[in-house]
Amino acid sequence: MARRARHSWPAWGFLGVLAAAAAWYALSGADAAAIDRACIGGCAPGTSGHGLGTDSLGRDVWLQLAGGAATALLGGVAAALGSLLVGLGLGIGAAWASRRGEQLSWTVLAAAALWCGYCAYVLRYAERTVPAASVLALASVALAWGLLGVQRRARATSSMWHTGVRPDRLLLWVSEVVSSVPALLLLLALASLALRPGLGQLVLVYVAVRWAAFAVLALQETRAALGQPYVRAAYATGIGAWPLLWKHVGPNVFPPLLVKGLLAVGGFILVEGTFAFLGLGLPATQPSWGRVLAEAQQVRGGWWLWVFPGVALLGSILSLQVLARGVERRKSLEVS
Amino acid sequence: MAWGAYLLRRLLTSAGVLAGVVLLTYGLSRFSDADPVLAYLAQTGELEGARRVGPDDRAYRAAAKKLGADLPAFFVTLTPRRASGAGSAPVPSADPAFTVLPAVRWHGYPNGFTHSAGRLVRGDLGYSTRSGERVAAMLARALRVTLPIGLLALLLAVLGAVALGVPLARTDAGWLRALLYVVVSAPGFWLATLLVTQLAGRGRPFPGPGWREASASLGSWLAHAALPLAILAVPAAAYLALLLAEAMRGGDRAAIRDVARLHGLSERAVWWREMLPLGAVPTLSTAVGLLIPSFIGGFVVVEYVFNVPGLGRLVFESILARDWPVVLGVVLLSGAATVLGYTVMDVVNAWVDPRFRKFVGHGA
Repeated sequence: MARRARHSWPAWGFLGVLAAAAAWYALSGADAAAIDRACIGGCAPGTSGHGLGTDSLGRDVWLQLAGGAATALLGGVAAALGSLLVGLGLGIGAAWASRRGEQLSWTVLAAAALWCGYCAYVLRYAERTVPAASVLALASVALAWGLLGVQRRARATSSMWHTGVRPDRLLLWVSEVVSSVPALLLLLALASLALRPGLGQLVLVYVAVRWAAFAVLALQETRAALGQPYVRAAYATGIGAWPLLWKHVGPNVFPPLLVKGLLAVGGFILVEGTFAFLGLGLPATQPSWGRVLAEAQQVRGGWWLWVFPGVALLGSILSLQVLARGVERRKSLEVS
Repeated sequence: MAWGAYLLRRLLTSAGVLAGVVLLTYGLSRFSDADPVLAYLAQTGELEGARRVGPDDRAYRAAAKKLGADLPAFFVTLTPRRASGAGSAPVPSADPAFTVLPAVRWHGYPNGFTHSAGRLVRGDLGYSTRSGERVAAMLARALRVTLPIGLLALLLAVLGAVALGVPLARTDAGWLRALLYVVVSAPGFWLATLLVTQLAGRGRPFPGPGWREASASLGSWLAHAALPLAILAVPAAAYLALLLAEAMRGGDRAAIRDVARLHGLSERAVWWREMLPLGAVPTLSTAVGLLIPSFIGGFVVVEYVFNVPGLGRLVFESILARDWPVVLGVVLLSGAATVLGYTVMDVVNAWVDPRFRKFVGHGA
């Protein structure tokens, strides 16, 4: 089936314009929340010095869109990168750890469960902040590493280390639980339960929900790659675990995850916009496209309040989809 | 894998996931700072008269015993070490200061989790901290509004997907594909704002935000439900149409199409009678399972914009009022609905196509 060659430059161009607007907003020191008293009730575009008009409170739409671009892009990239890294690590790790059907022993599982309890304890009683959560996440990685090492060394000596659960099955179960609760609902509940409003916290909550999809994908791709004859041959030559994963498994796993990561940037933009639209999760000083849209119902005939943020939202999400599709297509061309 | 063995394994997996969702919801509920006992007392009316009810009152203790709030939170608890005098019953409102090393205690069987799981089995989800009403009753009332819209939207989405997907597969028209991509990408809250500002209100085709019961007047219900239905169904239909067209064209389907043509079938019969069933079964059952969670997210926005007293509006208002029992009740309900959707879709796929029986379990 002959398909016309597709170009991704409009997508790059659109995202470039957004990034430029975001950078301009960050550097110019303009304040999107500044109120023009002459424009309370809403000014149409081009009147009294507001190129794109104002909302009903007299806030400039252009400044809010530029600031919203900063919020969306910065948050989106951080959220997608965070979910990608967590999912990649867990997915590859679980597939590798259970490549010959090995099981995590109940002893190790009990230790891990106790650690999860400790994390919950810290989040329950200590200040819930981004640094605290990051320290916990890093400590979790270190502990997982240590536990796996302990199990590997002890396996030869004692039978208590043998039986348990396969790590890949455990990971699939956890991710199915996380992805069984509708994401927006879980995000809403988490964002308002555990954390104070703010972009950093919203990113963290998004990662806490979205890592599961990345982990499942990474697990499946790694499993498939480990079964490939050339990977098994490389393994048989005695190549180490890291070179094997990096050289032979990685090239199979990274592109699909990159595709999902690009889509997740759009996903975060959507979630952030929805939160701002509903007036939840973000402080009022944080500019967002969703907040401009929420104002559209306040100004009768205020077409500029839904056209401009609509262009920004739809354009950025479509651009990211075009880029993701481009990665997908390049990968499938390589194979065939 | 044999059909029976597959079915058993799939159902067991679903039960495990459901148990995980219950555990997750219970864990989240222990993070909230609201006191469920006070909500219960407000509901029974025992709060009236007494100015302030504290943890020492007899009524409070009786209610706490009934709700399981006097039990330890879980089989094991981790609490901050107290400087002096370890209290036996943790008081929810008075949190001791955080210590890096917690005090670990083993409590065993009767604990808050088993108690609330037992109540859950009996359909008791607790009491709203805002109104003191039973959460299960509130959910049932909201579902009476939301469920008809959701099911109708699902039906419309499937019909729309067939109507759009077959021509797309048949012609492979680039403009139609591009249009469908744009519709899929349109954020729900943008679409809702667009429709409510342009089409709803006085002097426009549809009535403004508000709600009429279907039992009062079906026409009036339809007028109020039309725009919410469109916002849910149109992007879903576009998404399904793209999947359907892909399933009708991709893979080995070209060979089947050619055989059907060689049999002398008309072009119409080739696509509608031969290719549509081939593409429809995996696509529609898969996608309908995936649509359930996305619809539940969509309800929050749609019911907020159109002021519909359904499940989405209930959860939104409960979040604003910090009414956690209700929020978590909705989370639990939608988690269960999603698990059910996934299970049905996997079982249908495996029933129709034995190749699916290799896979048990399912991630996003």
